[in-house]
Amino acid sequence: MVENPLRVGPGMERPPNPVTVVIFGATGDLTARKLVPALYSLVQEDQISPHFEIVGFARRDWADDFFREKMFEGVTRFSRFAEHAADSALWGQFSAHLHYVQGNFDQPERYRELDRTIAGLAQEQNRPDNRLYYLATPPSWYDVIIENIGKAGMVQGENGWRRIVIEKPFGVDLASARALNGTLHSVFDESQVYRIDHYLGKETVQNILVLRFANAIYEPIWNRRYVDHVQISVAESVGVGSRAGYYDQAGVVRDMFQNHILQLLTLVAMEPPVAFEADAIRDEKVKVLRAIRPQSVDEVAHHSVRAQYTDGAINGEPIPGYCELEGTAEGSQTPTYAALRWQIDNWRWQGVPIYMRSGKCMPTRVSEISIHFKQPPHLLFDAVDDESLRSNVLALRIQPDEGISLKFESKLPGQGVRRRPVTMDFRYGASFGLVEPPDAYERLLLDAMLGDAMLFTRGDEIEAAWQLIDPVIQGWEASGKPDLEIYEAGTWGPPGADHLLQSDGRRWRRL
Amino acid sequence: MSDPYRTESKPVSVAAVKEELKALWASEAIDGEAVIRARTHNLIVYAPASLYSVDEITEQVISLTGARPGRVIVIYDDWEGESKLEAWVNIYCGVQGQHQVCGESIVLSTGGKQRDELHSTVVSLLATDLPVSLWWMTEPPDNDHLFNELVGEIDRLIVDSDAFENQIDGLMRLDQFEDAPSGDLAWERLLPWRRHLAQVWDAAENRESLRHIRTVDVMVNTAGDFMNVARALLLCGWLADRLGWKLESAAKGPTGGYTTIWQHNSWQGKVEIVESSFSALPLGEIACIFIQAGSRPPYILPRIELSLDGGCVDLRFNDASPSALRRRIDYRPVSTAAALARLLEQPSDPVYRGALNNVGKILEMAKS
Repeated sequence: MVENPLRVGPGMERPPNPVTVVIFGATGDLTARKLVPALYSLVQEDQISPHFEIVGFARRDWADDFFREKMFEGVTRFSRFAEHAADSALWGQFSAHLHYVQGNFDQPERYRELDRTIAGLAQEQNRPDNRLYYLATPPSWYDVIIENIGKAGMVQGENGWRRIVIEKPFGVDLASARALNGTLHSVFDESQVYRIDHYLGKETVQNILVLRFANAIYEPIWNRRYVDHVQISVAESVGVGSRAGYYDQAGVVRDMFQNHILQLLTLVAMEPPVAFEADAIRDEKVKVLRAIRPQSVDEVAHHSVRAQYTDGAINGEPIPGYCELEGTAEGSQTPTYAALRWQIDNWRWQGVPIYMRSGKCMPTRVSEISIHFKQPPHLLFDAVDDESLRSNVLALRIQPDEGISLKFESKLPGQGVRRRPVTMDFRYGASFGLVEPPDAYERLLLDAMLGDAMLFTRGDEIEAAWQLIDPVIQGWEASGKPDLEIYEAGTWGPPGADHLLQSDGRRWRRL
Repeated sequence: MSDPYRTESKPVSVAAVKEELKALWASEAIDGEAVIRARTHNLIVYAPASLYSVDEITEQVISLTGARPGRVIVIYDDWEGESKLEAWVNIYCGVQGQHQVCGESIVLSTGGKQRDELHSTVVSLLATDLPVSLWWMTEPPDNDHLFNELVGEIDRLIVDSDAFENQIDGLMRLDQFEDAPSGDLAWERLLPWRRHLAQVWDAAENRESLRHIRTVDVMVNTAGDFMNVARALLLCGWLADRLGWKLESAAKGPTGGYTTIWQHNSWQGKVEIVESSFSALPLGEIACIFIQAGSRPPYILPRIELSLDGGCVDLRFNDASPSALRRRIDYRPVSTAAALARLLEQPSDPVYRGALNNVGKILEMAKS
């Protein structure tokens, strides 16, 4: 029997084949906070084969037992099934699959030891030696680890597949992204590479595809004839926290635009793919990135705003200014807020500006895409106040309170024709009663095990994104324009961001 | 879940009921902002007064459907009582995770002759253009005007064969019911067991043994005279359907269990449903599944045992052999609310239909 005949029908989906997840940098925060809790949840939900193993590989001199203890702490704090871990039999059974191999990332002989350990586990269980390598290390180690995996002969196996998952950031500019892609492709085939952006694991991001391509009513108006402009906003209410050292080098454009915001843009702007398959969707996303109009240094100054937060307060809590944080350079010019205006040169979007903004220390955490439609060609009703600025808006909220809302004009009850905008609101949770949706890492880890790359970023997609982001950063650095503005922590950004839209007769949507 | 807001009961006018509902939602508005709610389905619930009090059924329906927003129309049927038709409405909001989910119910309390013509009222109270499910809380009746009329309006019939007073007749009637796709809460409760069993054969090297299953023993929790074997029968029917077995014989034991003989390839296999008492388990819950297979004498390998113990399933595979495997798997029973939610959200399940069809054959043969 080739297939399991009992795995048929709703709820009976087959879990991925037995696999060993090998985590490089297993002593780091990501492993205990996200990866192992996600794997634990998948096991509790019977989503992965019971014949799995997790092998941690890192520099610290930990033993298996100590690694298990640390992961227990992580699971009991961060897993959706934290309370189940209290059952010692269940935890004992899960933790028996946790192993630790000590080694410096630049020691080739330790990789051979790691290889022997992984192969031995598969052999013991008489199962295929499928491996998912997960790089949970700082990016500076990526090259070294990938090369050593290659040198140790851990890339091809006669008895199982090999895949590698890479966390963002994928490079710091186009050159470094190309170099990293080069290193990866010298060892792995592109089909083995899964570049993770946890944003794509969120339900609402995936819902954008369903909204656009499972509903016929949107397609006829999803273009330059009906859409006035598009806004993408990703606001964070937190500061840079303990990441000041990294963030001061990266800044908001590398941290948020190159990955999350461009991913959202491509999903909103792409053409219908020929199939709901990884490469078909990624082909269309790359076409969008290639159609975005490149900007010269002068144009960057004209079409962008950058700013840094100063001290202020969020929810009554005082927040120190960015430059006062430990880890930031004295007089740092790193932007913590940026707003960009871009154009997409293709038949669908020609002449429709795309406004994007993201910042730290905003009043609230919110991510949304809003499609602003054109006004009626002739207004029959008297316009008062700023009614001319009102247009239909379709807002796709990513977080929090995922959902979709449509704003339209309605007559106020009573005599005369007085209008008021009203909102028709669809909230994902209110419709489907999600008690606790799976964490994005659960979905993405499972997809990687199943070999479904749809929610992962392809190499050419990464390079196309950097091709757009590099000129922005280089433009700012070369011309020093626009000036780095400041904004108070707990506010919606600098005045320049408002002027960017006001100069086009538009304004940011109030979040 | 917040306390439901309820109006006074009164003789039914469809327009008045809708007005009452509208007024209740309007009263919930805060600072002119209406309560945000979604509706994903219509659910008609038929509850006989002989089994439930009206308060019980209202409370139960709210708690079961609170996680899925929709319009619920409860038909509370006191068919032996005086002829009457009264209605009242409830709205309720509860917090699910970080979200507020709101629902509304219309209770139609009927009795005597009024019930027979109730279907037209029910149909006019349905929310427009949403799927309609009918949850009939007893066995599907053989010849009932209200049932027959409602069935013509629905997208799916939902029953709970665990709760059938006469399981044999109920399941046989369900097997013969073809007017709309049906779903069974008992089948949904079986999902964890089906998943655990399927898992044993995910490994390709074990799969061949599926062809050589010799015996399956299903132990089900029973108490006193009430034999709840619906889930055990469905499990047996599912295995037979998925493995292409043909029923040779079926016999009902003196205490309510079943012995069935199946033909598959050139083999004959036996499936027994064995009643047993486990005070810690709910009635009808499967307590243990014991399977022996083998292509060579003594036909006992692999030997698979899944037994429910302390909230977990213990899986033993070839317990006494060198290839022994023991696993403890978290067992989370499917609540009635979750089972109902699955039936409201998912399309009809052809695998269930195949299992039910085999249950029908077993009961038919055992009867004769």
